[in-house]
Amino acid sequence: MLISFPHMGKLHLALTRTLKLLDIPYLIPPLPGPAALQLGQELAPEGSCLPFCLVLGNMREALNSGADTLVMIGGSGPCRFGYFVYLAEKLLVDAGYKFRVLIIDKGHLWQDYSYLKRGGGFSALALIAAAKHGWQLVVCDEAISALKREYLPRALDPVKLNDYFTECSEELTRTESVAKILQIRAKIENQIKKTPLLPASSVLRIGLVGDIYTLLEPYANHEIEDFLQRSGVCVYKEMAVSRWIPNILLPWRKGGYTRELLSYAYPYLQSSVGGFGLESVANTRKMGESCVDGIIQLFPLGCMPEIVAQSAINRICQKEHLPVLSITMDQHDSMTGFKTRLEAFLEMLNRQKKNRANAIN
Amino acid sequence: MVKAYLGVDVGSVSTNMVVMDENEQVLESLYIRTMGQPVKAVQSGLKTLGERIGNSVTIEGVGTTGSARTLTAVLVGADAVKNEITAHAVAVSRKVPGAQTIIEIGGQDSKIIIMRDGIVIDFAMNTVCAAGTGSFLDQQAVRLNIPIEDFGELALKAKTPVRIAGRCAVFAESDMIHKQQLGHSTEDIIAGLCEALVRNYLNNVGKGKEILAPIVFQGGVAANIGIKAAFEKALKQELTIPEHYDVMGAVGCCYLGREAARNKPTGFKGWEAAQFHFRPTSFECKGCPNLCEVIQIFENDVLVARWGDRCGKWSNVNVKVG
Repeated sequence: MLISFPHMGKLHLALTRTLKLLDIPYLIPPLPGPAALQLGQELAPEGSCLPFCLVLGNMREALNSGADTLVMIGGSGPCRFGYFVYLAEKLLVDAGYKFRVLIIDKGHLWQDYSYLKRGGGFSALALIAAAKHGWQLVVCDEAISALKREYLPRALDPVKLNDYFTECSEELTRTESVAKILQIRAKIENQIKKTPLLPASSVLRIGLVGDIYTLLEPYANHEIEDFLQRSGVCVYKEMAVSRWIPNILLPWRKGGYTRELLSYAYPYLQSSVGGFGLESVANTRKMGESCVDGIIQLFPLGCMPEIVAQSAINRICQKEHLPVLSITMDQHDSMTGFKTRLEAFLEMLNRQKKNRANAIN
Repeated sequence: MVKAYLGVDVGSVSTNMVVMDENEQVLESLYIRTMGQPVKAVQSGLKTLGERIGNSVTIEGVGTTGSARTLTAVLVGADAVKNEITAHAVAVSRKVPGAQTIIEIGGQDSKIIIMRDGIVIDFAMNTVCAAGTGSFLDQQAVRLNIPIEDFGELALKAKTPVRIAGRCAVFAESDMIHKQQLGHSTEDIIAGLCEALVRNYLNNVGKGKEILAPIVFQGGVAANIGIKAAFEKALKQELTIPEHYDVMGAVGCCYLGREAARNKPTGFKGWEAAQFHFRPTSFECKGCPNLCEVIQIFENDVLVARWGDRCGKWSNVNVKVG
């Protein structure tokens, strides 16, 4: 048994740590890129969205390098994304691949466990402990990334702070216990409190919303976070692996989660529209009220939930005077058009900010 | 010698250049077809301008915009390199004070810019569909064997414009062919096409935007009176077409170049840059799965610029390709 998985953001951290602790052999596929896109497009149905092509291609990359078991999140239903794994499995089988799929979703966990146990010979408790450990790793890594996005552009000495972040991320990969992971996170939070920062109002702050894959996978969003960071913009993003997965796996979390989203989205959107549409609308409102100067919505071409969300976000934009830029991502390889739109958006926000400051003085 | 500023806008279809003096008067303007060769287009533009007014002006600041703005900046030695939205908005705020909406349709981009009190408050650009832009109109004109200059005139002669799908350039084309086969007159088809493109623009780029008068219409397509009429019919408003409607991006660049070179000498390479030998090469970086296509520009065999790398490691021209 050689386990592998398609990438999505930092999910691989949790999976590899769990597998390593259980002594199950695994393989990390290359990060999604043009090669994965091409492999995916060869098998994907015409009109499939960019995330599906990339995930499918990434699965093929894993199988081509010798993996015989693929792990993937199910989540049956949020959008096509929930059916990715089922559709991908059929397409891959038709293409002649021989492998087994382990789905992380309600109703599949017991099956997955018995399959893994046959290969490994560990107890259910050991699996739960290992999964918790891996889980903490991704939670902590995402928390560090969020701090970096939000504070690095404000640091008086960004080089020093960046070095510190890099050092901590490396330390994190070497940790051996949950306690150590939590310790690193606490250490960084403390360090931020001690770091001299520019006032929050002196820099541009932008919130990112959109579907989960586009927001989490740098290749799918043309590395927008790096671009914004280089332009000195603080980036806020509510979407994260660690915030989404508990809500699909733990039934008792779901109700509260949806209610919270609805409380923000109301009156612009009153129910879930599939995919991450409700999240996009709720997070636009949430971040717009609390911390950001503008919102960028990113979504793949043909993503129906995000198209519905776009109309609601447009109304928020007008009624609450919150600048929003919506960008449809597809297989464009050239960055020029993408950068033009981002630069223009930043320029507009900067000029508005300057004008407001002048009006106050 | 008069102090002046140079603005260059290199887009997919046309390369526009403007020389503006200190009193904001446009001294010269050029509209050249890019023909997929931005380097050649910019150099031939420089040559023409140099011959026309090179001896009577000194350039004090240069700005570039358009999809080839980075490349152009290297060719001419620009002080300001800005996106098209900013360039167009700056030009309009100076040339048509009080404008609240800008409709700009170029070769492959169409945009709407919403301005209030002289600053941009909202904008949108087409992202994945180029239906309704200049290059599509060009193509259809060629197919119908009508000079693009006469396109608008013909549209105005239509009695009953036909309905054509405007959602997608390919569908629009098959609709047009079918209507032709049914025997509709060319005028009616062209007018129908104009209306379809305007509908597509308003439903796509202009969706959800508050379009208030005065509305300025610019870009190469503004020369097409058929499209202008279709816009006026749909919006029930009159559109203002500024004097330099086809080179407004370049006009904006003159202002941006002046702003950027206010307290420092300009980087302008001189009209003689038209004779320089520029040679672009490219390679695929295999440093990570992104496989970036990196472009290198040689000026008279000296490497002067490099871009295309997502991580920025090649952007420093001193790094050797190993």
